[in-house]
Amino acid sequence: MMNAIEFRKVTKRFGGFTANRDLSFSVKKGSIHGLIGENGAGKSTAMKVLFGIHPADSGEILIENRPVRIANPVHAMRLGIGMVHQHFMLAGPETVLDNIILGHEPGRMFVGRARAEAELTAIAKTYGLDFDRWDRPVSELSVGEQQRVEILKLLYQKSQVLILDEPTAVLTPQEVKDLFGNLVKLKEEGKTIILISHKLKEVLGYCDEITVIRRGETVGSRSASETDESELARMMVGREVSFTYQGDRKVFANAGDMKPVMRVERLSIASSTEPLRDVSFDLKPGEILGVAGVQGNGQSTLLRALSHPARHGRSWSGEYLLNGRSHSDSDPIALRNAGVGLVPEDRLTEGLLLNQDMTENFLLGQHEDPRYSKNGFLLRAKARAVTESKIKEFDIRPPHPTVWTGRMSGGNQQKLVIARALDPGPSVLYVAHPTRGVDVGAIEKIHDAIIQERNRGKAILLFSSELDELIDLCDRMLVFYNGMVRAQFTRSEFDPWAIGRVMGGGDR
Amino acid sequence: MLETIFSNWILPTLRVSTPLIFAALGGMWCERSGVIQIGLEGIMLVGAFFAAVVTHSTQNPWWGLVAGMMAGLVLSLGYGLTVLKWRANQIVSGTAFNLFAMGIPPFLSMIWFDSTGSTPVIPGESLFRSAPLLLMGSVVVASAILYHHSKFGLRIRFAGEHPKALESSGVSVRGKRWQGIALSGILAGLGGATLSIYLASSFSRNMSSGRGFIALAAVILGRWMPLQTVTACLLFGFTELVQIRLQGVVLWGDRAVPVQWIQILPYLITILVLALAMGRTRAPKGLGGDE
Amino acid sequence: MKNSEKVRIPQSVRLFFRSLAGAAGGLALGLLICRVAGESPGKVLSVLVNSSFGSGYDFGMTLFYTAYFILAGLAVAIPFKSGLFNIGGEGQLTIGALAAAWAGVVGAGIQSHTLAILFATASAFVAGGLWGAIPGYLKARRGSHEVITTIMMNFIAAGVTSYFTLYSLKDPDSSQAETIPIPEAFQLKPFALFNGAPMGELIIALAVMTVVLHVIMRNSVWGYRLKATGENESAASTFGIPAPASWLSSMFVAGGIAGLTGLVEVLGNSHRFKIGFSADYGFVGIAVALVARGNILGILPSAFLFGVLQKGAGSLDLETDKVTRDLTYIIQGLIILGVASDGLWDWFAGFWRRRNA
Repeated sequence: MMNAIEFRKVTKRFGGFTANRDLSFSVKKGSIHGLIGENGAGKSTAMKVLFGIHPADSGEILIENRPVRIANPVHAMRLGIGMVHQHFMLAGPETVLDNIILGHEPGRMFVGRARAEAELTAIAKTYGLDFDRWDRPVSELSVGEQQRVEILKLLYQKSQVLILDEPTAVLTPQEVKDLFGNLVKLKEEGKTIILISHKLKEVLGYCDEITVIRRGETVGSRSASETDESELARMMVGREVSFTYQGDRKVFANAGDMKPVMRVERLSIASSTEPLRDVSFDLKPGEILGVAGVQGNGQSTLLRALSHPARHGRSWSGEYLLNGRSHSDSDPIALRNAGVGLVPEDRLTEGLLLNQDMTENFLLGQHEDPRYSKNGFLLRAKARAVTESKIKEFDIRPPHPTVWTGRMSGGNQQKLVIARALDPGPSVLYVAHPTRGVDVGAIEKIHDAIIQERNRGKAILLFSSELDELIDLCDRMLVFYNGMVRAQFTRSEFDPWAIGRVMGGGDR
Repeated sequence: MLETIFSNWILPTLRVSTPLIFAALGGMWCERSGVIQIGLEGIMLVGAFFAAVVTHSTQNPWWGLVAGMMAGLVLSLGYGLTVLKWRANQIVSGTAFNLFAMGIPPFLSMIWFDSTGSTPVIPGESLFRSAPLLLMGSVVVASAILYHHSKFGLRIRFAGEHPKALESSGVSVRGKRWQGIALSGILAGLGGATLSIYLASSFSRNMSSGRGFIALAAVILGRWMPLQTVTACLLFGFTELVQIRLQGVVLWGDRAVPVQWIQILPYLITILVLALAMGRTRAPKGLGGDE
Repeated sequence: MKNSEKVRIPQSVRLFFRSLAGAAGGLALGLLICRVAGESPGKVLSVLVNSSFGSGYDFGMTLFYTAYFILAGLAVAIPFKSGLFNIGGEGQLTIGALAAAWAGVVGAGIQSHTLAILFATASAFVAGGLWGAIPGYLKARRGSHEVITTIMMNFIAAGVTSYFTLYSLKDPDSSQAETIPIPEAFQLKPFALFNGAPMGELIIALAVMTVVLHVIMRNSVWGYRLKATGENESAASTFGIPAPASWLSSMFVAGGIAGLTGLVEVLGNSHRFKIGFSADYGFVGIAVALVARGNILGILPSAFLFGVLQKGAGSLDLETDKVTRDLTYIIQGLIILGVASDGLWDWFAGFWRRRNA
C-alpha cells in the first residue's frame, strides 16, 4: 500500500525550544492513523508543520512518496491536505453554506450559491454524511453538526488527507460513535485520516495504526491490533501510569446522613441561549457531585448562576441556600464570605489577568479580604508572601510571583487559579473543567488536590466535559439535558453508555 | 401636497444625509473587515478640504470629487500602515489621524490662500446640482449587492467575524483589511467632498463637526449592514434638517428657541438612539483584534 | 529561554525610552513638514524653544499650559486603566470652567480666599465629573461606545455652555461672549518670578496631586478594581468587580479632573468664562496620556513636552510667514503615532539588520 504521508527526521524549533526532533513516521493511504501523546508532546506542532502553518527547520515530508516542501496552508490544501482544528473555524452568524465554500466559491464575481449547494448535496450523499440545512446560521447547530460542517468543508475542498485535532473532546459517546462511523465511510471512499488524540480507547477502537510521540520525538508506531492500552500509555508517558485515580479515596462513613451545606430549589434562569429549567439538588460535605452534559445544556448557566446570582436579576427564579441562608441575590464577594471557592469555566477569559503577575492574579476576588487590604489600600507585600508560599505548595512554575500569568503554561495557570480558590478555606467549591488544556503531570496534581479537599470534608460541585474525569472523581453525578437535570447517578451506577444516552436526550 | 413634502422634506433629508451615507458605508466596510475606523471624521475633513481646493482651481466639481476621494484614500492608507503593519492600537491611531487631519486644512490654506482654514467661495455654476445624490444612490445599491452576493462581501465579512477561518481557507485576512480600509478612505473622502462642494460652496474650518462620529454611530445602529446603516444615516440626516429648520422658529411664548438648544439636537439624538439600541447590535467578533 | 543570558532592561525603562524616541520622531517629522510651507525646520524649532524658555514670563506660560495638560492628561489616563477611552475631556473641561465661573458669580459674598477656592474647585469637579459620568453610565448600562458618546458630549457641552454664557451669566459690561468676572477672593495669585504669567502655587499643587493619584491608582483597592476591569472585564466581574462600577467611577473622577482644567483657566487666567477659551486642550490631553503610556507619573514630563509645544506654537503665527499654531495638531498626531506604533520598532530593527547584513 502507498504511503499518503511520510515524515523523515522532521525537526521544528521555536527559539531555543525544540518542539519536534527527528520525527519520523508514515501514514498509509486509505487508513485511519492515530497520533497520540501528552499535551505538549508535539503532535499538534507536527500537524501544523504538515499543514504548512509552521514550515519545518530540517527533515523531509513526502506526500504519496514524493518529497514536498509545504510553505503555507494554501499550499497544503492544494496538495490535498485539510485540517479540522480543535476550535472550529466557523463563523456563527454566517450560514452553513457560506462557511463551507469560503475561499473556494464557484462564482467569479458573485458567490454562486446555487451551484455550490448542488455540489455539496452530491458530496454529502456520496460520503453518507446526513446533512441538508445549508442556509441555517452555524450558531444554531449542535457541536456534532458543526463538526460535520467542518468535515464537509474539507471534502468540498477535495482534500485527500483529513487531519482531525482532538475531535471527540466535546462530543457525547453517541456522537463519537457517529463520527467514527462517518470516518470509516470516508476511509472506504479512499480518504486518509490522521487523528490527533490522547484518548487511548478511541484510538485503539477505530484506528488502523498508531504513532506515539513523546517530548517531540517518535516513540514508535504500532498496528492497532497488536497493541493495548497499557503499552500505549507506557510509550506516551515513559513510565507505568494508570488513567484512573489511584490515590487515597476515603469514604465518608456517614456522608449519606450529613446535612447538605448547599441546596438549590427549583432554580430557573431565563436565557435565550442556554436557559435553566426548574433545577433542584443538594450538596453534602465530603462529596464530589459531578455535572455532566453536552455543552450548551444548562451547565454553564448553572455555574454562572451559582457563582454570581446578583447578575441575573429578573431572569432568576428559585432558591439558592448555603448553610441554610438564602443567597439568591448575592454577588461573588458575598459568596466568598459565605465560604464558596470558584474555579471558573475558562481560566483565560474568566479566571486570570494575563498581563499581570501572579501576585496581582492571586488578589483577584481577594482584594477586599482583610488579610490583603486595609483602609482601602492593598497589602501587597503580604499578598506576595502568600503567593510565594502557594507557588511552593502547588509546585507552580516558573516559581516567581512576578511572572505574568499569560506567559505560564495551562497547567501552571490552573494551579494558580485553584490555589487562589482554596486560599480562604472555603467549605463549598465550584470547580469547572479543572484539567482542560492541562498536561498529564498537572492533571494528576489537580485531581489529587480535588480529592484531598473532598477528604477534608469540602463539598465540591465538579463541572466537566470529560466524562472519564467525572466517572473517576465523582461520588454522584447530575446529567443535564435541555436545561434540566435529566437523570442522577450514584457512583455504583456509573456507566459511560447509560450516562451518554441521557446526555443525548435519551433515558437511562 | 405630496410634492411639497418631497421638495421640502424628503429631498433635503437625502441631501443632508449624503455625506453621512458615504462615510458610514465606508466605515461599515472597514469595520466588517475587522478594523475599527475612528478616523472617519478626519478623513471627511481632509476630503472636504481637497475637494474644495481642487474645485476652486479647476472650476470642475468632478475633479473635486476625485481629489476628495484621493485625499481620503491616502489618509486611510497611512492609517492602515500604522495598524496593520506597525500594530498600533486602532482607536489610538484613529484618534491620532483625526488630530493630524485637523491640522492639515489650516496648514495648507495658509500657504495657498493666506487664510487659517477656509477656502475661497466657489461660484454656483461650478457646483453640483443633483449628481452626488445619484452617485450616493448607486453606491448604496452597489454596497448592498456586494455585501450580500459577492465573493468580496463574503470574504470581507469573514475577515471581521472569524479571521482565522478566512486565513485557513487560503485568503489573506490582511489583504481584505487593506481593502476595507481603502474603501473607508475613498468613501469617507467622497462624503467629505459632498460636504464642501455639494452642501456648501467652500471649505470652512472644522466643517465635518462630528459627522464622522455620527456616521460611526449609524454603522453601529445599522448593525454593520448596508441598508440598515443607510436608514440610520437618514434618521440622523433628518435630525440635522430639523435642526436647520428650527432655527429662529417660535415654538411657544414669544421668544424663539435659543439656537444653542437647537444646535445640540443632532448630537443629543445620536446619543439617545445609540443608548436605546442596546442589545440589538452585535459587532463583528474579530473587530479590533489581530489577524 | 533565549534571552536568559542577555542583560534585561526593565520593561518600564524600555517603554520610557520608546516613548521618548517616538515623540522625538513625531516632532521631527512635524518640523520637516514645515518645509512644504517654505520655512526651515530649524527656524520653527528655535521659535518653539525661544518662545517657551525665552523669559520668566515665557516659562511661566509654558508651565501654565503644562498645568492644563497634566489635568487633561489625567482625565484620559484614569479611564484608560478601566479600559475606556475618554475623548470627552474637551466637553468636561468646558463644563468645569463654566461651573467655576458660576461659583464665582453665586459665591460673590464669600470673603475667605480658601473657602472661595474650595467652593469653586468642588463646583468644577462635580460638574465635570457628572458630565463625564454620563458616557460612563451609558457604557455601563446601555453598552454605548464611549468614543462616540464622549465626542457627542463635547458638542453638547459647547452648546450648553454658550447658552448659559449668553443668557444667564452674561457680563453686561462686555461686548464679548463672556460671563461676569469672578471676585478677587476666587482668583489665584501668580508668582512674581514669572513676570505676570498666570502661574503660581498651582503647579506645585498639581505635581503633588499627580503623585498622590499615582499612589492611589497603584496601591488602592479602587485602583486595583479599575485595573482588573480594564485588563479582563469578564474575569473581574466573575470575581466580584463589576465593570459598570469601574467605568462609572473612573469616568466621574476623570470628568472631575478635566473640570479642574477649566478651573485653572477661570481662577488662574481669565477670571471669567469665555466661549471658545480652550484651544482643544482636551484633545491634547489624549496625546499627553498616550505618550505617558497611561502611566500616571509619566503624565508630568509628557504634559511639560506638550506645554512647550503649545506655548511655542503660539509664536509661530507672528514669527513665521506661513506656519501657524495649527501645526500643533499635525505634530500631536504624529507624536501619538510615533509612540503608539509598536511594530515600527521591529520594522526599524529589521531594516537595520538588513542594512548591516
